[in-house]
Amino acid sequence: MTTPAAFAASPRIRRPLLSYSVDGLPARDELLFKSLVRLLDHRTHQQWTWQVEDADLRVVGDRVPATALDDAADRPVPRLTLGETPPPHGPFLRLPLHADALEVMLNRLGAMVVHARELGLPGSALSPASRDHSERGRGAHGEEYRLLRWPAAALLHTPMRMKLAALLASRPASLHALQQRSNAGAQECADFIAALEHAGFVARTGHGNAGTGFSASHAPESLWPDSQSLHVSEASSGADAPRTLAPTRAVVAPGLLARIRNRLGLLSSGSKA
Amino acid sequence: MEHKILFTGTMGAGKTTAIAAVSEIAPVRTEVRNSDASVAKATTTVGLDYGELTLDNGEKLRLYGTPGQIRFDFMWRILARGALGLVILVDNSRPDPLADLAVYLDGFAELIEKTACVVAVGRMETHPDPDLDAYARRMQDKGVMCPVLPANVTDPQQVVQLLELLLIQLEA
Amino acid sequence: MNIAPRIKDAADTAVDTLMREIKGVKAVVIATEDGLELAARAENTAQVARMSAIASSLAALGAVAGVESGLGQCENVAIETASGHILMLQARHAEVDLIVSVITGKDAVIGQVLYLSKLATLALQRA
Repeated sequence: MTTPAAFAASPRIRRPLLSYSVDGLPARDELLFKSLVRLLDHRTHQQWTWQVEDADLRVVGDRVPATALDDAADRPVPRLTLGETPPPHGPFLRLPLHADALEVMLNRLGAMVVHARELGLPGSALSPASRDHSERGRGAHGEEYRLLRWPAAALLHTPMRMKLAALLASRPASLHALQQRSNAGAQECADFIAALEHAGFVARTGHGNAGTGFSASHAPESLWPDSQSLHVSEASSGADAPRTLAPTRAVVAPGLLARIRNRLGLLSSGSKA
Repeated sequence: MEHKILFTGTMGAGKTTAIAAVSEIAPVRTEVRNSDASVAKATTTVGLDYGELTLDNGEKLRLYGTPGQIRFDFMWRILARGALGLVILVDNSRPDPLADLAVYLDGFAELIEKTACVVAVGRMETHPDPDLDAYARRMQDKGVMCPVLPANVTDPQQVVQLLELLLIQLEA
Repeated sequence: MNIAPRIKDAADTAVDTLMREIKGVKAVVIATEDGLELAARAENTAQVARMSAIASSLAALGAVAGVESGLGQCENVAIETASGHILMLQARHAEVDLIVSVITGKDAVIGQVLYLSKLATLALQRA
């Protein structure tokens, strides 16, 4: 299969990670569908993974009736029907599936989901609890969060939350990066981000630049320094990611912040030198 | 290599106090009698306040307090050179604290852009308005993203917390 | 600023005197120690717009230098520039501390500037 150059597999390119669920398809068709999605992975503009429920895209057989749930204003999740009979409205692919047709459909629906997210539409907001599962997966793939405003004090009731907010204040970060920099647990970060998103204090910026999926972070996660050897430099980025969102930062000498923290830590414990 | 952190804010906001709370030396002060009858404070900083902390490798972290009045903004520029970050202290008992804040957000715009900033609001217990939300919104309007929280700078722990929030942003 | 009228008058007089008597003088500014202008005259106002605040900062730093060096109270701060001099003197009146700043060109005679400025400062202190 040909590989579009723009999306040649590279560890540095992070496409949005979206999920789909499957309902009402005969087992064989479901299996085929999933295989096809995996096969197409290197061609699709987003990365698709299957999950049981609460996915970004619902794939259903043509026998599955539209429910009140699908049409509820607060959950306009796109629904793709597969089968022989097209539904009254909505995307439809006839079985047996053709790879090209599926690729086009996935890209189209994926773009819709991504766009809806960027606009902060309620349909794209899964309940915070169920989103945790997909968030953790997404976080590792570099989708970043940007603070829109310093959050309300009520949301910052723990020192760790204050710390996470301060981290986000300086520049956008993915869940993964937040975890690493703060030493907070994955659940704690996810809960906090969900709370911030719910209250409108944070926005997702997973796309950096023109939908190419580049993350806007300075350095790839694998190069992130540990807290003992801090070196912040605008030149240290290993990623080709366009830094459209991060401001120019002054360089901080290696180790300095750790030393200052040590000294302040001594102050905190009451032993003022 | 110069390591310094700046404290700024209006007269009486607590710059000198904050530095005194964490400095290992008695702060050097350039306080003179206040001739401005509109502010009920006996003295005011006209040059700079200076305190310091010695790090474990012998280097110093210097803490500078700037004069608060805008007529001393040449000192702001001088003191801002090479600073790691800025702590803005606001006194919520003044007539228009948000306007006060704006003066420092503007006066130190370049430093804030390049490094990091923390806004500490004092006297909120007795003067709850404007509330923190109002501060956050004002900062959003001005395109500044930094922590804003209440603080009593006579308490060394709270001053340490302000510095810690500055460091967290510098690390990112 | 709550400065007694007679002190303000004395400041105006000092400015007049110095502007008249110092050869090569460009500006004279008398300000409170916290940087507010009390009386001033200059060849052009741009020269003195910030002088009060700047003098205040410099005088304060001069005071620190005097203390740190163990040499005592700072009496004046002298700055030599490419095309002239700036002299800032402490005028310690009982009611208020003032700073007298004298800006001169290269053609001024430093000795004369110092002498006349000190005289004027002493008069101001006794106002």
